[in-house]
Amino acid sequence: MTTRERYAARPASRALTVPGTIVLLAILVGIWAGAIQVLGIGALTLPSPARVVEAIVEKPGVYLRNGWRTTIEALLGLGAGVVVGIGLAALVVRRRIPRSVARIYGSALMAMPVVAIIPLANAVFGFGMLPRVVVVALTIGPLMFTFALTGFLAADAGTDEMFRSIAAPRTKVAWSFHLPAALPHLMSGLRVAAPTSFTVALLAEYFGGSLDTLGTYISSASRQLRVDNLWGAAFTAFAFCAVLFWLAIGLDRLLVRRPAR
Amino acid sequence: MTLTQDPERTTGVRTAIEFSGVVKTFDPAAGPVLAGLDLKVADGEFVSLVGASGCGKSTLLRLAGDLTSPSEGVVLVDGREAAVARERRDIGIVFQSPNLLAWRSVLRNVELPLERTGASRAERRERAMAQLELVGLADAAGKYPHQISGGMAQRVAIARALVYDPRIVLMDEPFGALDEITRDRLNLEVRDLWARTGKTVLFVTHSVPEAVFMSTRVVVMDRNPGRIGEIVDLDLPAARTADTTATPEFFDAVTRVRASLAAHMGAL
Amino acid sequence: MTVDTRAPARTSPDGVVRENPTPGLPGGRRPRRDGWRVAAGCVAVAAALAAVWELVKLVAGLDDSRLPHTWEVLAYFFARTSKGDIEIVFLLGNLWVTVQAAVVGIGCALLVGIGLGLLTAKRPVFGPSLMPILVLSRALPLVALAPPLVILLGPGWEAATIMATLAGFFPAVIAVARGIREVPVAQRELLDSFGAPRRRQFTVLELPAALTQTSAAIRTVAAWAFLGAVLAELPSGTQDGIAAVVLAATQYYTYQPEPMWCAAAVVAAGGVALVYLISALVRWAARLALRTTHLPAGAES
Repeated sequence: MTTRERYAARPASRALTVPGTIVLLAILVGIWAGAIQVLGIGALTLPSPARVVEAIVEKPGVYLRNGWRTTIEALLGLGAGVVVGIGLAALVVRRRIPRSVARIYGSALMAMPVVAIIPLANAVFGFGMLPRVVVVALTIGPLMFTFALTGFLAADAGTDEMFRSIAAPRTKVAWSFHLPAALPHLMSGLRVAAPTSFTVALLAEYFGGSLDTLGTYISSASRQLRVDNLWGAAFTAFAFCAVLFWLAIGLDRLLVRRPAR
Repeated sequence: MTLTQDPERTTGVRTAIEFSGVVKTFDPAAGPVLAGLDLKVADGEFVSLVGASGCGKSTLLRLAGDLTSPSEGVVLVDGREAAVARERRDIGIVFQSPNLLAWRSVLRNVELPLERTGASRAERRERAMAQLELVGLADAAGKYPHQISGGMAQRVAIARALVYDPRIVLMDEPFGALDEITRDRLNLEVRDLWARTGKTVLFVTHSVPEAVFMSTRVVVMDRNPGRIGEIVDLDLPAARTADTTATPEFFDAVTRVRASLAAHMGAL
Repeated sequence: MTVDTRAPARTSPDGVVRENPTPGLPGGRRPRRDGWRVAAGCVAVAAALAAVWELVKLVAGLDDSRLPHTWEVLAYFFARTSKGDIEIVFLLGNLWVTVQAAVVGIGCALLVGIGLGLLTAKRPVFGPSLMPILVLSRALPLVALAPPLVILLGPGWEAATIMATLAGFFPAVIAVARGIREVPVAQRELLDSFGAPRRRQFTVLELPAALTQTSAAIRTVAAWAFLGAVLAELPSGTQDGIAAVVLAATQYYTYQPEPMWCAAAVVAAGGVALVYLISALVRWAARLALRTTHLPAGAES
């Protein structure tokens, strides 16, 4: 007789992930299509899934080009936010008072709706790419700061003392200990930050600026009630977000060895 | 009065825990952890299990507590299957770590096993307080786990295991993480509690002096696969104090167990 | 090789080595003196920001239409609008409209999030199938969803609530699922050891763990939900609500810049205040529900 341990992980459920997800997605699309049929929703309010696919297939280049412009803005902002957030965390992590002050501002910035700063950034930095990059960086910065600070603080004190005992220079300790030790936290932060940067860039574009971005496309489609284009743009945006998210996960898997679960 | 002269304790009116032909395999590739193990613990005994890491002494304890089930063989507690005994709350377990719930005060941690048993809130409070007094922590009742020391936390865990008055107490290296001074004091307290309550205790430890000081019998375990190596009967006086550890009899017993341990686990 | 003679990293000024210098844990020293210093630091940073603002204006020669003076913006809060109201009263009135939708949305986000979190953590078949979809919902382009939703439902609190729910539910799912998954096996075995039935594990271990994690994630939930409610006001057709006011102010910004700065400040401050208020409320409720004065810290989300 063999007995399974009472609280052992169930390996069987993992195999169901991919087919299960596909089935669930199919059900969701089915509900969408069914609701239009049953409730008699007009094409001007909610297009059918087929109409949305049609709208994308009609002119995929427009969606892709606009999406790409948005991605560039998102990535620039993401980069700036990551650098500033991690840098600031490294600066304050060993200083008690600045750390508390930075924490307070960081959590307030994260609680603040981005919508508030978008028009201000547009006013101050003009209508080019810069205001969007600034807005994205202002959202990503505090987020990465929080994750980085947690990561730096989680570094094992014993290892830290070991490095001191061999009189390693500070930069060396930072590179070969503090950064790797914080890496899992940094990558968790990036998982959140990557799709968020795209969402925020899209939001910033909604307030105007150069016309060849996905955000402005969405805003004009919404004003002109081109509903299928609107949903087409929404799905394009979703796809771009998802790709960014997967890239972040990929980078995470590449850089961080996690124990298999 | 020595323990061997106490008929109730050694001859055992009845058997509290009985392992017969117990085999436990976690990973078939690695072979069994326990292979054909037989052991009887009499009612009211204090039995220690000693052995090298990985000899399966914790597994043995977990089998008795029905936290895991044997691959082959039978584990009887109080004459019933271990699972039944656990359901009947005949067993109290003190784990390696105190496992206190961080959001509950010390008192409410001790009350936990009494909840949903029909006991009124006042009754639960009273019994938990009485148990906390027994382990000398009545003053800390209102504190939270993060406010007390490791030694205090482990005493809370003992109070929690005893609060529903189980007849059998299983202790899995309960003081392994504590400093030696705290450890000695807690050992004395546990020994005292056992002497006063007459419960059956199965105690897993790494430390030979600890096992000798606490027990009526010490079970030395074999490694790879785990089975009983030798059972050392002790004839130390029943009333043990800190001074007991300075007596020749104590040294003698420790030496005997050490020799047995060395014989049963090969070269260290 | 240079030897670093500065203060050792993990040693505080009084020479006591601390395991974990995270603030908020017991053993934090001189909390009151620290409190004053931190407050002074916060004020100093705010003053520095205002100084940078004025300096940029001076050096770069930005005119008032791009960057008005700080005092001009502050003074405008008490000016009269065209309808004769005091600006700040008018703004707070509109903020209240948005906050109402956001609060309902936060409630819905919590309900949906907790429900889905329980499903993913407790149902071995459904959970793994649902999780990828939930994770991808983090990638939902919220702005892109607002216009279709407003077209579908018309402007008003329904669209705002749905947007707030969509924006905020995900961190709650993760918090609940994590809380339940990370209940230590040792604690489950402890309950087994005194013969507690399985359902007790849910009420005694899983629910409190989910609750502590959720109260750690509540700020994120509230912040995103408020943003969602704000976004629902952006598509044309909405009159009331603070976002509608911001949008209107941007239209005549070149003519008069102060209203936009004031409106933006109210959105920002309102959002932050709401988040902290809701967070305090939820944490209070969680402490009450657990009958405790000590709520364990949860993980970041």
